[in-house]
Amino acid sequence: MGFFRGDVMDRHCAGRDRSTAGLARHGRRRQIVLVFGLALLLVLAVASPAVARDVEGCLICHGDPDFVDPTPNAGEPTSLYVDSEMFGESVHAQQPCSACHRGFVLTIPQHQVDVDKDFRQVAIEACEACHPDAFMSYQTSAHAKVYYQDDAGPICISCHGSHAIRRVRLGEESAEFKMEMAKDSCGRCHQDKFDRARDEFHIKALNLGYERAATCFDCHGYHENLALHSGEPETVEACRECHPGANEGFTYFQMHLEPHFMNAWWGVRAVYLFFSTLLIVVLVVGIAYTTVHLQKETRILLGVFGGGLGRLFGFIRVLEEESRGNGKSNNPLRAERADQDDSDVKDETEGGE
Amino acid sequence: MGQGTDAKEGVNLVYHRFSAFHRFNHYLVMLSFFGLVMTGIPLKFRDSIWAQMIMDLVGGVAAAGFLHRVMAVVNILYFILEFSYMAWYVVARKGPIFHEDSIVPTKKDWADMKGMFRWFAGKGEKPKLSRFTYWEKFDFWALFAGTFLIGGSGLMMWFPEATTRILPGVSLNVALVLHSNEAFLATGVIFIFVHFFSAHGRPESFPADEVIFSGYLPVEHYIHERPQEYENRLKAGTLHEVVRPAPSPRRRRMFKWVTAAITFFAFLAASYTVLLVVWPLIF
Repeated sequence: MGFFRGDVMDRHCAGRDRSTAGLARHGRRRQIVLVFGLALLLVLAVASPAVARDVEGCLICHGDPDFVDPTPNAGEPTSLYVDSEMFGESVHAQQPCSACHRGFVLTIPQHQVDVDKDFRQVAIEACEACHPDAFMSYQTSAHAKVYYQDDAGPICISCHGSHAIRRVRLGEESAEFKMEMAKDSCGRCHQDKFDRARDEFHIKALNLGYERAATCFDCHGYHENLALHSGEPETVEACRECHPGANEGFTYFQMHLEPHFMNAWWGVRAVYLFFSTLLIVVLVVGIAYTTVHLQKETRILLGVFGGGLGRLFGFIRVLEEESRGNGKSNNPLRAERADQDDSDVKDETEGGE
Repeated sequence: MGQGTDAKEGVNLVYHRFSAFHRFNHYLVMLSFFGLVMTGIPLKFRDSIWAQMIMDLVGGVAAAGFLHRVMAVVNILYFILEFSYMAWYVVARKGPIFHEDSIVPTKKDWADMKGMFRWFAGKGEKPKLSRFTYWEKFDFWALFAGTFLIGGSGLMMWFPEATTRILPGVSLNVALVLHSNEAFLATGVIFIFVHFFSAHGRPESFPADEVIFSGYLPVEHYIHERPQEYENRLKAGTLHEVVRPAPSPRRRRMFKWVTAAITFFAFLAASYTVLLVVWPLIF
């Protein structure tokens, strides 16, 4: 810490009692050492190579790709393999297995103490233990309602996965990550909504690498899964995350419309139909007209398809002559020359027919 | 194409077709159009790998969005300039409106069009075209209306919060559909299939009509291209108003290079757009 003991420091303490100043400096130095030490530890912890900690030795058996349930209930044996490398890269790599797999004992063959307990209930409880806030948000969501009522809704691991949960900083996710989460987590069940959202500005921009563009959970919430109907206060709040001036009228923008705007307001469909028709009409008429016009002036199609390459080179020669202005008078004020130009054109036309 | 007349023959005259104002406006249109298409159309065809390429080239979606808005300001600028010019032409200069010198469609355009179709079918001579042909007028008014529609809907989406203070949110849906479709129409049809071919691709001007960049064209070219205007001016004795001595060889060389550079860039931009649009249809 040499550089902290510089002249500036000495001059600063010059007026005080030497020993007191020395003591204070000593204490401060210890503080600094402590802070830097902790920071170093943190950096090391974050930057350390991804290795699963596995203090209990579960991966001795479960790290084997061929490890299957030796007592299959029916049909195909269930794989009990956990990819240790994948788990090592996950955010939970430093956690012992039993941190989540609670109520398990190290007796073989039966790990689970309460055999009849539903594995999904175990999973939810495991997450809740460390993430109570997220769990509370989830409790209010439509996902939870379906889970508790019909015993079929998604739980934490349905969206987050289990052994490969990645380390992200909220608000700093990359565009690829947000896109992947929207596709794999939300789109797995809400395929239709995801497909429609892909045609909208937000996800289009995200798809092209704009990480600030909103994806599913930026509006609908990570765990709340708000329905977000037009005109509702929570929808206004959701829009205001990025559009601070949004009001109630703003929320009447129609999202997740079907292809060709089939379920949109009739005005949107009318404009869409009008411009689609206009596009096709102008395209067809434009291409047809341009082809006929250019063909008449250059006879280039005849040159390519009729007379072969010789005619095509003839066309190029005509262009060159045209550009040089050959065969024409340089005096514009002589009208008879212009007349002759016209008759030249006529001759050409008749010759071509 | 032709650069004035052959100096050896002693006569060196050009026809002055576009004033500096109009050329400047065309440069602005070009600049903003290419800028807007380059930064806007990848969003429409974002499944094409070429969309990602151009986005990376520009520097990401945020940079493209910023550029798009800068070009939108240029777009609005030329629209205001052109509109002011038209107001000045009508109010202050009291220029003729339903006349061959004006850009407003007249009966002669209808007759010209019928005449051209007759000529296409080989049943008559090519009609004598005047200062503005019917396809040039179509080009102009299509762009004029398109700029108004695209600009208006673009501004709505630029300031969505302000828009929804006045209109319901669904108006932004309408704006988006209109902006996207009209922009695609303008890009694909007017500029690639119509404007590039009818204004620049005709044999008289192939591959690019230099007149819009330099303002003049050789007189014999002019007589060949616009016989009606030439006759009118000859009769009225106003030919001296538009026929001028050719610029210096240095200036002519400069415009040749300017035209070549712009043509190259336009060709690149048009090919890119076609590729972008066609790619998702094939792959």
